Amino acid sequence: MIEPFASNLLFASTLIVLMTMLLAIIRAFMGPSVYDRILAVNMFGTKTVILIGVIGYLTGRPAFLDIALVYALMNFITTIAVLRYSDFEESPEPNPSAEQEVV
Amino acid sequence: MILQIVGASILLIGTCVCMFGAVGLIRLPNFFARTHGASITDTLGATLCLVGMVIFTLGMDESLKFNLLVIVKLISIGVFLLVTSPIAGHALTRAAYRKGLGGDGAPDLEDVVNLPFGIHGPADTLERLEGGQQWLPPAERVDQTLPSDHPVNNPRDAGNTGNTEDSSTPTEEGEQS
Repeated sequence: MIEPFASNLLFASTLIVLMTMLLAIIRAFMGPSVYDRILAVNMFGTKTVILIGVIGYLTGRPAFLDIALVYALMNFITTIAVLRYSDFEESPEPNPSAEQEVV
Repeated sequence: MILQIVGASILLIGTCVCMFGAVGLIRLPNFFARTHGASITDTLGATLCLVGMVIFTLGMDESLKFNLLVIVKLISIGVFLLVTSPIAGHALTRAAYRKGLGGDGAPDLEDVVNLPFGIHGPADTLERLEGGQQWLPPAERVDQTLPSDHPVNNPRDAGNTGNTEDSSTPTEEGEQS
């Protein structure tokens, strides 16, 4: 059983998290550099974890937390992978096989 | 039941902190300042939200075993977020600094050393500090990197000329009248 007042508070926090995600998406669209976009998407992922947890409590199914845990894992790996991609895009490391082909 | 209300309130406070971080992410002028806003969201906001969820779980009517399982999941999410999001933010900021978002005057990352009191700065800062540089009031400080006749290094001359010009014109006017 969830107290009705506590349910209202959970609903309010869901709305606030959704507004936060909206602001992060706005920054991701208007960010001047690639890093602003990556930062905003990383924050969006963290807020997704919290949103899934809160919705799980709101609907009375705390088993949603498993999905939130998977999202947290995925978010970190996504950020690091995109960072590596954007680093290697302009300054690629010399590839030994390519050097052999040139020689 | 009171535990549910307390937990939901803490959750609401945590989401409000996230909201403030997002406003900072929109409004701050600089990439590194925006990193500050996003990092607040990832540490304080997420921690408050998860603590609120733990207290909320303690107030639920389920069996103790089920509640413990949920609390263990919440704590694992919290530990993972607290470990990974500062790492991600650090990697992001470092990559951005390497790419030159720090501006033209920013030193290379290899030249930055650890200074006392946990400060990081250019390597010659420590030499300048250990070389017995005296404390000077801001008006008498000289920037070594600029030529000596640069207006930044001669604020007193500029001020004097300005003052003489300003003071001379009223006196002349006064004499004329």
